[in-house]
Amino acid sequence: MSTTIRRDLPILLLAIVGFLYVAEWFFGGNVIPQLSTFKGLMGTMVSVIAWTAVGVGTIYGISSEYYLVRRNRNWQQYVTSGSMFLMMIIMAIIWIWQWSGPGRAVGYAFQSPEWRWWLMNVYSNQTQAQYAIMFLYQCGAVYRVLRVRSMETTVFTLAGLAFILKSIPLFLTVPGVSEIGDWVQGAPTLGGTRAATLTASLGALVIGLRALVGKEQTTIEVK
Amino acid sequence: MLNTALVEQFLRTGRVMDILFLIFVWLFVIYYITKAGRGAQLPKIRRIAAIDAIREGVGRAVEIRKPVHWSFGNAGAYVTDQNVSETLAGLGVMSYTVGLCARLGARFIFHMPGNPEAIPILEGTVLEAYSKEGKLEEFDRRRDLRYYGSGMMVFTAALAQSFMTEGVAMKIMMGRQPTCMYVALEAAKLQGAIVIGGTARWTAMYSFVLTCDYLFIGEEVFAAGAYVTGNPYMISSLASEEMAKYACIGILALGIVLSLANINFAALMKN
Repeated sequence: MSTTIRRDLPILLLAIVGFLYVAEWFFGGNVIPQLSTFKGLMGTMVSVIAWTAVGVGTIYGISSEYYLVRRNRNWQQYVTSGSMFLMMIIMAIIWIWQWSGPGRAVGYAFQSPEWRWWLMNVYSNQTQAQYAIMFLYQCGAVYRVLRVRSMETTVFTLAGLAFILKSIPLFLTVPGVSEIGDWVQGAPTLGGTRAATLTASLGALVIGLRALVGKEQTTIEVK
Repeated sequence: MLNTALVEQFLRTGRVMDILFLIFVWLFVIYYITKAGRGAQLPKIRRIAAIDAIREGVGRAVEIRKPVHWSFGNAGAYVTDQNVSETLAGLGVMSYTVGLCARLGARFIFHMPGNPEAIPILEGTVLEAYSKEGKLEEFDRRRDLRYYGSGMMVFTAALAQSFMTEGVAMKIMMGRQPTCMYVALEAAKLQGAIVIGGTARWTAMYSFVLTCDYLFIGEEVFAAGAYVTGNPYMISSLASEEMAKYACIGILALGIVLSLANINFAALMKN
């Protein structure tokens, strides 16, 4: 495939749509309504492409799982992949069965008792369990980091302790705890947050502009 | 003061300062890109410790014969909204990491995010990096490109399982991250991996500080792509970002002075 089709044409399309999107921010609405109409149309196109990609992604996932089973022919893999396919088939059957009734909309199945039973009794429970594991990992990470080994970790630990103590009602009776906690939250944390957000936004803006003028390495590196 | 009625004939309400700032940044982007095109000397980028750590981690992966794992998080690598810039920056670093793995002979495993519209660009970046090193045949895409769908918990469980069964020498996670990063990064840490992270999303930065050995903080995510490629156009636009930063600092200082003089600076900036 020529570089015109693989590289230049996509960049040209990106630039045209990108510039029109930027223009809509400034000149859309009542000034040039066509720009807002164009933005709405593009939004619809993005949704169509994204949902098509969801279908492609599902096929991709099934294919990956199939090849995983072919590579690892042991009982653990059969159980893992088998349970995934079983859940997929059951959910699909429930959805089609519920949807197929007379006068029912596509989303009807999501409200049905059968679908909700699977959601609440199978999916939600394992999600809650995973969240619990996540917080366990979080505690492990906090324990490791809040060890005083250098000047930075000392400051980090003290600031963290000030904020933790401030958040525990018992310690609010100790003079100064609330004030120090509030200061940590309001001065260094807020300042650092604003600085990080500001500089990150500038970085994002510059990369966006660079991509629009076709100088972003990630989008042009096609040999 | 601005004649609001006149301005609103040509511009949407409250966008005057936005367009002035955008033009300011754009002029500097064009200036520095033109300068790079002429081959003029460009500003130097300081060393980023996390980049050096990537090189070290790939070397370690070769020595201990364990893979390098990369992910953007289960909902990372956005390609359809304002977070595209972060995805592009992450791809630059990923391309560099894959290239190193291919060159040195380390196995690269990519846990792809749940948003399937990103798959072509992600897969393309990995294959292209292997191709550039002339080792495309060494990458088994059916084995090492993983897709788990959109469930966060499925994603984290799959990563943890992969670390335990296949091993992990280095785990890198870049881009806007949801809460899944704790499990993914901490599980890698518990398996003795070098853990590197990077995000420009400030609510996720704190979590990265807790779990990572090396970190791209905020704008470093955007600078990293330019640093690893050494591409003069990318470096040049970073200089324009610096100019915008100085402008922001100037506006902040001006705002403080004017506010002290009882002038409503915030109202002027809302125009």
